[in-house]
Amino acid sequence: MGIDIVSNRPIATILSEALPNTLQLASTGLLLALVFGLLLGSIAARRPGTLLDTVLGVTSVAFITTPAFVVAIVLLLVFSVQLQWFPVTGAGEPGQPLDRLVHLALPATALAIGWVGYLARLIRASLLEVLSEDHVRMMRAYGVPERRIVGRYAMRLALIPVVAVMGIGVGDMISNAVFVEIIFARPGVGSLIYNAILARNFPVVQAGILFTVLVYVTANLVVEILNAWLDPRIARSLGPGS
Amino acid sequence: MTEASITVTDARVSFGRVQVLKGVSLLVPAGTCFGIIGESGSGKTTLIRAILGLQRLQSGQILLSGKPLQPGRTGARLRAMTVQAILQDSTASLSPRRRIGQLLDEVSEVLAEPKDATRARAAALFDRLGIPAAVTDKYAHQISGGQARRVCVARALLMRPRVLIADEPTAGLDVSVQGDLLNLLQEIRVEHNLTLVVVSHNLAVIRQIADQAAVMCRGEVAEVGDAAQVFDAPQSDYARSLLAAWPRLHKPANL
Amino acid sequence: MRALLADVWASPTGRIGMVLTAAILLFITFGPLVTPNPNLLAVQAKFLPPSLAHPMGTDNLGRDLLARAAQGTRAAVLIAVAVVALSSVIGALLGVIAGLLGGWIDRAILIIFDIISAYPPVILAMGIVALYGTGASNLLLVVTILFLPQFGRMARAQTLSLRNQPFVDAERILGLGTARLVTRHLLPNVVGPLIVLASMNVPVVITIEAGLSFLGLGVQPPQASLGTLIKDGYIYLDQSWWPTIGAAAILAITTLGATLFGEALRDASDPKRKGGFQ
Repeated sequence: MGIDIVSNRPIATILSEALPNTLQLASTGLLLALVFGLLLGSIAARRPGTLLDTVLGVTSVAFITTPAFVVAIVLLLVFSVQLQWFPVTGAGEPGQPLDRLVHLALPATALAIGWVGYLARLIRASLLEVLSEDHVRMMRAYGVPERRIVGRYAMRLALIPVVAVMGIGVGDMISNAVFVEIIFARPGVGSLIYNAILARNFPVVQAGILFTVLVYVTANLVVEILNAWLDPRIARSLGPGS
Repeated sequence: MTEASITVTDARVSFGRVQVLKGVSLLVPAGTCFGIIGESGSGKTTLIRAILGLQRLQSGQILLSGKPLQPGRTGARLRAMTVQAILQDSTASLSPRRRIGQLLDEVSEVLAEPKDATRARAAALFDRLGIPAAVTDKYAHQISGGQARRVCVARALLMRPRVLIADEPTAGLDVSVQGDLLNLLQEIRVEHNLTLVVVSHNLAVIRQIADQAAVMCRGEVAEVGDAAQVFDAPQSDYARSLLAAWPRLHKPANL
Repeated sequence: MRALLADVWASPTGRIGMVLTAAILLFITFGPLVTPNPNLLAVQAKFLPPSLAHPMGTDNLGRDLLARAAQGTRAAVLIAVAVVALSSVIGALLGVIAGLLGGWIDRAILIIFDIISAYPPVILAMGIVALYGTGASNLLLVVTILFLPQFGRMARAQTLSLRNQPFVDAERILGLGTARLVTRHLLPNVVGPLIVLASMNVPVVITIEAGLSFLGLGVQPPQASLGTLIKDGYIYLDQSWWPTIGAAAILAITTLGATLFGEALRDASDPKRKGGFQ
């Protein structure tokens, strides 16, 4: 990809140094979103129509609609500046896992919030749909405990739409990583592109965007394959003879 | 020799591997009422879609009044001023979000005729066809099926075509109205000096109205000739079996 | 239309959305009229906490933050509405043409949509703005392009289901040209679901605009936008947190209100969703 004229180093090297930081951030964010989204979504789906369900619903929308950079600033202000529980900036010392984890906590939360809301709603809707299907009613009639029905059977089916949106999720994480990396002054592909834009260093901008698109497209491909593997109906439509 | 209003020569159409028209040739003489009979899947709808320019031919030729039509806007306009049609589902063939009056105004656009002139002609036609004038302010879903069909006839006639194609003109109408409509079409054919092509799977309809008839079967013309001959002395095996399967209330006199 | 709004009002979340949206609309309509000049400098009065004279405090140059927020929210909403209007009209046109004509035109338009959605949205916007320059008009253009695929794909799907309706054949038989067929008979039937999608995208566009302006790639100073307000506040976060939090709260309220309203509108206009459980 050539040599960066500003730092006089190969652009590929600069990118490959920045990439792990962004990948760690994005995957931690996605993981957090999955865990809490599933949790809130299944809680709401077990009690449809109750006050708790409505509160969780509005909270989810608020999570979705509040931009990640606003969440990041608020987290930074509250937990780093005022309470001083977490470090303000940086990604932590390389080779010190605990330090890196502490530095990751707030940025990853900022990334995750929106998708917690989104996944909670998605899970609620698809769980409710699965739970109203005949085979689930059958299990209830046989006296299978509700907890087991949800945990063991329904959740697996309800996860299919979640996997389907993971491609968009990766794109969102990468996009929002730009803001989060800037606000928490973390090194990464996002802040690299941003600083290159400010410096009008276009070869680095181009390379960074190319790189990001590559990651995005790869992630989408993986999701597509995973999706086909999970849902036999899609596999059939992808296979020969369609 | 009478003038031919539609000439179809060796028309072929296939959808994927299925051949829907396997070389159809047909001559519709001007000023007659021509019936096309066939079961569903016989290719009769594809044939009239091709005549109307809605279906491209893979090979073969269709002449209107002896002339081929060039593709593009001028050809489409010329075709519309020569052939008009009323489709099976009249209510659904009136655009749902436009008032009937607005749909009639489109005729004046295509013909480049002043709106008032078209409206005046439309009023006269509505009167002739027994459509209340108030219908112009309504939407398709607000009028009855019979009215919708008459509106479609009126809209087609406003174009002053030489040929009028009616696809299953009696489908979905009450039995009492069916006969009235066929009579009306026949009268209009005479008044406007039209060639009328009636397409139906209903043998009784064709029998009542057509001077000449063609029987279509699996993408081919099985038999064609004077209606009386096709019905009373069919030559092809298919036409014979089709007629034998027809439960008739009145046998033809000469049998 | 009235019945639709009554349905929105009938749902609890829809009612919240309607109230918030109405409040924001009042704010951006009358706010700039009753507040002082948003660009009036008063350096000796910088970083004032909220008071009667300055209900949201002042910023690093002593400018009244309520006035700047009113101006900024107005800019954000206007840009978002313009983007959604442009994007939905162009997208719908492309989608209808693709669905109606099929063949290579359909494939070409779909490929364009695929290329646009192959980029993570903010990254693509950053790249284009970086290459072609910052500013409100470029921002508008970029975000419009970002949203084309959504509207286009929806319009295409609608057209595919309309294409085989008899009235399309009937208009063709009458000799109507493609342009008139599209504008007069197809678009009106696509418009309903498109309006719903558009209203749901307004808060998304507000978010993206705020994000790009936060990065300094959108609306340029001294013109205020919610994103630039948050950015200005963020720079001086160690001296005062009022500016940031005030603008962030207004941004959150705007997007939350618009989203709740849009979703209630979608549910009300979709007969299958009405009544909830079936």
